[in-house]
Amino acid sequence: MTEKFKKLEVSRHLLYFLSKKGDLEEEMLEKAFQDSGIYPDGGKMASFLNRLMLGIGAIFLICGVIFFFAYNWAELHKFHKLAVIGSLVLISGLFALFQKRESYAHKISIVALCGFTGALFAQFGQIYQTGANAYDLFLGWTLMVSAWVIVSRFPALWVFYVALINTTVILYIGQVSRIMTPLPAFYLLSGVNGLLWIISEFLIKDKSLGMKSRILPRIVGLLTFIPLTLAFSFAILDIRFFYQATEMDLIVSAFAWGLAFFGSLLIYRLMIKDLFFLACSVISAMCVFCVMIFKMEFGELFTLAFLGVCILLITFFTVKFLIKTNKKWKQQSLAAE
Amino acid sequence: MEATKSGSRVKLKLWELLSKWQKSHPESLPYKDESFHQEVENASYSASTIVIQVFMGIGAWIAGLLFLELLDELNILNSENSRLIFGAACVSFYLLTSYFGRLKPAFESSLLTVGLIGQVYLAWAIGDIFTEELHIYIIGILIEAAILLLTFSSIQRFTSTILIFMSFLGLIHEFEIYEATHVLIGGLSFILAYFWIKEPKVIAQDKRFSSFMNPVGLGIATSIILLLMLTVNKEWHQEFIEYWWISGIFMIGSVLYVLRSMIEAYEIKKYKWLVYAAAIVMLGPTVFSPGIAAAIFILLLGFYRGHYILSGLGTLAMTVFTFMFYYNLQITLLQKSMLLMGVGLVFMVLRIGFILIYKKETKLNQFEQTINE
Repeated sequence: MTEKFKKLEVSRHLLYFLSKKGDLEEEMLEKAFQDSGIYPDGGKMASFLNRLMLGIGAIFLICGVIFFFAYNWAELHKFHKLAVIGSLVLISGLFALFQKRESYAHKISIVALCGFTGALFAQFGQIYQTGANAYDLFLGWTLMVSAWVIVSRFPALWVFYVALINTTVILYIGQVSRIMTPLPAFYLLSGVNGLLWIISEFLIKDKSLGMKSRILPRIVGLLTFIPLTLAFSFAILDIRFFYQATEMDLIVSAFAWGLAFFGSLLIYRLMIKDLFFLACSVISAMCVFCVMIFKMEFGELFTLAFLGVCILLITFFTVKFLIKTNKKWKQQSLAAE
Repeated sequence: MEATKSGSRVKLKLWELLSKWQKSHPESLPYKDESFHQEVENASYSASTIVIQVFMGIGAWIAGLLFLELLDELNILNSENSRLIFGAACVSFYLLTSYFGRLKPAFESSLLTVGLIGQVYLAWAIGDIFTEELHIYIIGILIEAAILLLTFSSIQRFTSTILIFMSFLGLIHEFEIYEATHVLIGGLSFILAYFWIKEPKVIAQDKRFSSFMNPVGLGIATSIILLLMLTVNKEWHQEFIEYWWISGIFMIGSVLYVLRSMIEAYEIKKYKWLVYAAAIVMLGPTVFSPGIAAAIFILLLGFYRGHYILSGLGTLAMTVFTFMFYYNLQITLLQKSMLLMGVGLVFMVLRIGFILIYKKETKLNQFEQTINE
């Protein structure tokens, strides 16, 4: 028995493998699933149910309040409306203040605080007809809740915050800047999300902040890659679509896409071990490659055959690379234990 | 109810488990064999992650679509027979290679592409040969069942499972027994619950079953969600399928079945009926929107069995179904808001009740640790 073998932990994959290799009885497997913690114990299950009920209850309540004020009930006096929503902001804020910082109830009350703040802004705009458009509302909302999102250390709230920022940027493009061409809009979206991507990695790196989940960098990373891939593809295709790209567009989009592609390959291969971004980079490259080959107009039959073979080869070698990398990382983490 | 701080729990090492088994069941595995140890070690490294599986699937699909377009442009397979022979040849090659070849995972995407092309051409040819849709669905079920049994690819097993149940939906539509859709949904939810609750029993039954657990289990969960998507847009189904509350009752029944298993596993004898009553109060309003009950069922089952992909699927389904439910509801925004707030408050009140009971049954410090994790 090697040293590495001694460090192996029981997993569902390994139990399945062992059941293929020998004659295991139901009781043996049942006990193994329980003892290894694959099946949660009573405490874990209670914690899950507590979170489920609190999470669903709070989300439904917040949505209900937002819908209630969106209805703009005429029979309710404007001061009453403001008082109700203001009180909810205050109550959720105070509740968050008196809860333990790491508790789930504290995090959920900050979510409520952020949700009710948006409803308060919308209500104020509705009553006093401030002339603010949807962009102003979302910008104000985003700025107002920023500090609370940071202190919350709650990945779900960060995801909501990312959605708020992206909505603000999209509304800015549509209502304020009046950008009529797609490329600058893609650059702006990818730039903002790229910045959030870097911030999210730092948040995870700093262990004192308590952000363990990799869901946030994955979402913002994807939101950076998609507009960049689209921008580069649009620039390559130029006159085929409604937008005539210039040479400068091609250079800028190629540079921006290349930075994201090579940067993520290097960073997520060598510094932060995450297969998700390696796979995403290659999928993005496959899309750009297909667009390039279509643009070259070699003839339809040749293009289809050539691309089909190329995609198969790229997939084959990438899968090989991903499996090898995954194996290497697992071995390294076992050796480091 | 036993409360333990799971964070402090030391994870079970494989060698410890094998030592225990060796003492109690010395004949069950070749414990002393060095090559067995090596095989287990290799298996632990080769566990293919969901990212690799998804990437493989995307690559195979893109390549498959390009080759299908190429074959269409070439226009060489322009008769029923040529399409049938070509499709059958591709599927046979795919199955034979995967069954006998046991190729490395990297080749899986290339073989999946061949399999995809074969299945599309086979379906096309069958559609041309048999004018009756009934025959097409029956043959489709048989072909996909054969592929499911013979293929080595998890992606193909997952896809075949979904295709089989979608063909069953086609059959129901063909026989015009639309209400049988509820029986299909109910049957699938029972199979899914049984599959995961009795996981150790299923995989101990036959050595081959463990390879089917994940792809078929996830395929069934996805099929339930897809079938219930018919409830999302009223225009799609109202013409044919009625009485969705039957599916709703099946779903609530499935949740109760999972709860029964949990009550037995965690020995919650004292509050057994309270748990059932609380579940019925919570799920009662979803009887006319079985999608939400199905999402809660999949989420609960996924967490109970420690299967995070299943839980993720449940969470995703819950977001979609809840959103669509309120979007489709033919009531005013004010009534919708009241309904939302009401349901939210019910959950909060039930949570308070749950905490009070849990606090009473466990020591306070254990409670604080567990609940705040």
